[in-house]
Amino acid sequence: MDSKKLFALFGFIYCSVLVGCGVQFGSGADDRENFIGNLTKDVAALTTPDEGQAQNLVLFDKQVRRIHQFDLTAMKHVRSFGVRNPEIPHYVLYGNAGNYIVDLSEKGISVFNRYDQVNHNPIKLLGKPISAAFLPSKGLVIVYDDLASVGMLKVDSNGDVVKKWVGGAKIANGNTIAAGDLNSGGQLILALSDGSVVVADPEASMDAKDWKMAPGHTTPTVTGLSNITWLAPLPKTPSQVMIRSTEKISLLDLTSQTLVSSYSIVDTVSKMSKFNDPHVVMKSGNQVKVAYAESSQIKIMTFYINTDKLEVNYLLSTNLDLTKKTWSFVDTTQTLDYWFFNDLDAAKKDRRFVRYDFNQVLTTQKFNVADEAQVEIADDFIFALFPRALGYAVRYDINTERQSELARFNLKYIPAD
Amino acid sequence: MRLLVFILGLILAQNAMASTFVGNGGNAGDIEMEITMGQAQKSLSIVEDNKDNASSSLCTCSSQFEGRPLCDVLKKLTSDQVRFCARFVSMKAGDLSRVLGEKGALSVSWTHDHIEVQEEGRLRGADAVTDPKRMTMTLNQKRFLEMDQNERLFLVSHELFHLTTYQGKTLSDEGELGPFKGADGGRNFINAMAAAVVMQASDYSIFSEYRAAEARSKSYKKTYLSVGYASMSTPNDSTTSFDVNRLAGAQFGVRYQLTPAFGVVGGLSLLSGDKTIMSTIKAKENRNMLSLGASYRFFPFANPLTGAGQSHLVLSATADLLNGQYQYDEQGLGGTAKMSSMGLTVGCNYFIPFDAGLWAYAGVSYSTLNYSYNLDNQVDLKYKDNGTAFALGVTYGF
Repeated sequence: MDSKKLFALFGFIYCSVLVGCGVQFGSGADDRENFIGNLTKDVAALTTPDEGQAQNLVLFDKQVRRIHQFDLTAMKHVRSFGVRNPEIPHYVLYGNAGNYIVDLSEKGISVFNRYDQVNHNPIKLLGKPISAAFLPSKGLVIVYDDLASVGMLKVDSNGDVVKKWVGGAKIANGNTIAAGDLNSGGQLILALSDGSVVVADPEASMDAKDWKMAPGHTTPTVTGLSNITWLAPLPKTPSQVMIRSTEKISLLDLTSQTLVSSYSIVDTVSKMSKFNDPHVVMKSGNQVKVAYAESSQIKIMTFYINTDKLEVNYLLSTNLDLTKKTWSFVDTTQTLDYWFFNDLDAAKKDRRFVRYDFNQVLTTQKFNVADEAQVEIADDFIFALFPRALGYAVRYDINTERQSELARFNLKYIPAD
Repeated sequence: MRLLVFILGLILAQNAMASTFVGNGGNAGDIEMEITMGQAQKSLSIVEDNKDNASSSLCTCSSQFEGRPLCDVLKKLTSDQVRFCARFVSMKAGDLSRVLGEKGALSVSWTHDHIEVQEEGRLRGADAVTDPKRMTMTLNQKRFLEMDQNERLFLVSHELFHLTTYQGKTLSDEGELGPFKGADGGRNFINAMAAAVVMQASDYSIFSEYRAAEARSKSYKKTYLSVGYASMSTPNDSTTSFDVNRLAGAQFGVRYQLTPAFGVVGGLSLLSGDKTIMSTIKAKENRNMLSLGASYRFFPFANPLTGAGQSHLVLSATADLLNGQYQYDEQGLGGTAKMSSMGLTVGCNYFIPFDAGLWAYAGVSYSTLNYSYNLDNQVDLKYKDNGTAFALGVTYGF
């Protein structure tokens, strides 16, 4: 089996700051702005900034409609859970340290702890959980539904829910949530409908059953920006937040409550990503610009990329790692009507992974991604789940090209006819 | 073991059984004897019916037999002998016809031994012998079956005329009789009358009336080889998707009739079935069943000269050795498992005769299936329900 042809070979794509790698799995997902964290998906992040690269992968298998957990080091199936209402879409989050799984669906939330015990519906959301902010190191789960309700959970080291609350979208001065995310300090940063930004304390809010602001952030920060649609705390500088508004990409410093840098958008925004370091990709013809925050500045790196057959290849996912100085993306020649947020599986054909040395703008890796496979990417390997009812997945080590297979893990879960 | 003892018992019992023609078609030659008796009776009845105006044509050669040995018998006759022969046949035809038509009037039995009769102080080989006092006729079964229908009718007719009397004495092959002079006069006379009966059967198309019965496959054959198509179904197991509920394939069988009723049976079924699970998983089971057991046969209809009368039901009970292989595959991803098990089958097959030893059969059977496949140490696929099989096929009996 030619691994280069059969498997997606991605570079490392870190999950964005504090959250489960986040978009909905599969094309046709909601292409929406104005959410908290990242869009939910049916495979949990392999890498989170606060926990590092996980060796366990959790996913909702659409073939047998169950949640599976795999040990990717030993390449074995660890455990599996049936879910309530398996016929509807399910999304998962995985806390590596607590070895717990959060199962999200339109009809409820379930938390499976490390002892395989399940807590169904610790909170009740009436809408569809469209996004989640997740900080496993602090056990914080913020779920945002399509009816603008915010559910909060505090999970202990065993995966048991110790705090919970469901709040509304109205935060301060009659303004409602436009976008938000958790920073690495466990603060929930929310952009509001008037362009202001508040910093909430999730645990205090859960305790009080009301929105409570973080100490030192009792008043909203007025940004002067209009129509904020996206907000991304910087993973290494939790007091700074990258914001996309109608005409600008800005960097807000929460300590000084000032916009420290802005860039006026002149091109077409094609992707907003929280994978690793937050960044916005803009395109104009074969000119691709990557806007990112570094040293309290919004910076732009321009790439002139031959985009093959189409004027613009459609980006499925983009990952900027300023520590390793790499920019990686997966694109496709397939036509998509979904293109704002990262979704590696928005198209499952003609996918290509490209990694650049971001300092030198030098291509270091380029691979094709296997058709039809659902993929999730860690720092050193990719996990490809193939659409087989029996269950077939491959771990592919990016550097060594060694592959390990996991087969027939669904065998005992094939439902009776 | 009990089954084996039973089978051995049947084999031993077979050797002790007499081979007596009882008219039910169960013994070798019974059908042929029924046919020959029927032909003789009808021929003699015609002679009886025409005795006032057709006697002149009796004891003469029909054109269909020109050049054949039967004609030679008649062509040697003098005109006196022809008249004597015709008059005697006409005179006795009615009596013989009635003897043949009356159940139990004449006892016919087979022998596998060589028949010898004492004539003029020495032994002479014969194909049949008749005892007029006991009204019995004994025929060498092998020889009889080797004959064509003309020869059979000639032989039986010859023996029938030994039951008749001339001037108070039963007819004998030895000595002079009427115009038939010499030591073999009696034999020549009886042969002429037997030939006359054959000519009558031919002239009045009696042979053709029995053509179908003659050609039809006969149930007295001992060995039957079968090949057919079988389909076995098991109830759906609601606890798994992997069970293959319908298997079909070739069925081979052999049956040896130890007696007309009891026999031993063996069989091999090569069944295969497949199933699609969740639209993409192809599951396939091959199940081979080797069977050995005993059978009981009975005839639901009486007249052995008809197709219905030859048709029969065979009830069987067998011990089965099952070997199976289970495969599942989804685009190259899958596995196999094997099993071996014992089972029991009871069945009933109905055999309908064709011609030339061929039969059609249809049947139903019920088998115990108790085995399991271990699929990748994850799924223990158990078959615990019994299977019902339907079969269609052809059989050759010999």
